[in-house]
Amino acid sequence: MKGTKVGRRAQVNQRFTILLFDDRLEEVSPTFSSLEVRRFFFDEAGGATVQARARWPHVLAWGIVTFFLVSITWALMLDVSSRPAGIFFAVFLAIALVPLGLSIFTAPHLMALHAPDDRLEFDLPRWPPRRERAIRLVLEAVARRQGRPAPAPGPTQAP
Amino acid sequence: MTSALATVPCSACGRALSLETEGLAWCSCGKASRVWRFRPVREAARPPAPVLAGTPCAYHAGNAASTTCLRCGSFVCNLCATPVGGSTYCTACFERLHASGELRELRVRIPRPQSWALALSLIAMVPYVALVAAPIVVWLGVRAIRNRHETTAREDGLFAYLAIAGLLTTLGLVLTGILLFELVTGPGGRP
Repeated sequence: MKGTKVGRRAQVNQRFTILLFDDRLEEVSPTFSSLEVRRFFFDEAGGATVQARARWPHVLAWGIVTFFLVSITWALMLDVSSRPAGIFFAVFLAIALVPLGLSIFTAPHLMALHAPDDRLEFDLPRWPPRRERAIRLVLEAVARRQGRPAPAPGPTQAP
Repeated sequence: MTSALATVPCSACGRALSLETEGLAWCSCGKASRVWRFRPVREAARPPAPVLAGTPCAYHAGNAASTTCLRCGSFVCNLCATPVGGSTYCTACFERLHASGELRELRVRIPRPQSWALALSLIAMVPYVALVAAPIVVWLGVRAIRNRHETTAREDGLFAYLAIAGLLTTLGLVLTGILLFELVTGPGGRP
């Protein structure tokens, strides 16, 4: 059975993909020779929290990228030999502004599953419908494992 | 067990955040969290295992057996019974299965032979090396295909890896074949 990707987590030099299976979450980290898997079973999970993370680091990073792209395009426009600079300007600006806009309007969210002696934290997808779907799938899997109806998804966004 | 989870640390500042109520919880740092509370499956809540009519445990003669080991069939008490993924084993069988890596539920490292196959297929491009490397690439490919249920559940691209490895190895073999042919027949096909 194929796991459903519900999030990801990054360390200094390692990236983890969070996969949801029927009865567990798996934190998968690919290396050259193997897939390192850490399993988190829901039996002992006592609660879950979802929190919005600060969006300013991403906004700042994309702001800097936009500034550099605009500067390059401005320099191109000053050069009389490069006539189609207007097109460059439009394309570069669009390339830079789309991620900037996305980073402003879609805040990263952190989901944490808490068990008495274990804790799993991961970043949910940024796009709100995908994020809500991931939360719903995890809550349903926990409820299935713990044998009770799934809790309501609650407010759709943490302010 | 639930009381241990009455609070959880706030992801932003680490202060205790109440898990008593579901919904939106505000931390004193000003961050809000959506909170869900679960009911952990506790041993106490599970139905008691049937006692096997006074049969003693194979390892603790003083304890009554509550179940049998799935692997060796010996009667084991609650102390020895090791539940793994819906099955129950005795301690000795669990150790043996764990050591041999047969318990899929406990495996934490899934090999990726396809990576080695791809790396080796690149080396196989060196003339004559393909003669040695090709059988190993095939063996690694077969291993990867046998293990495909484990890997394809977690990552995509297995067959792309194998296709590229196969293509490169074939190329290496063809190159080696041409060189061998020229070596035997002389340049231009004339002996």
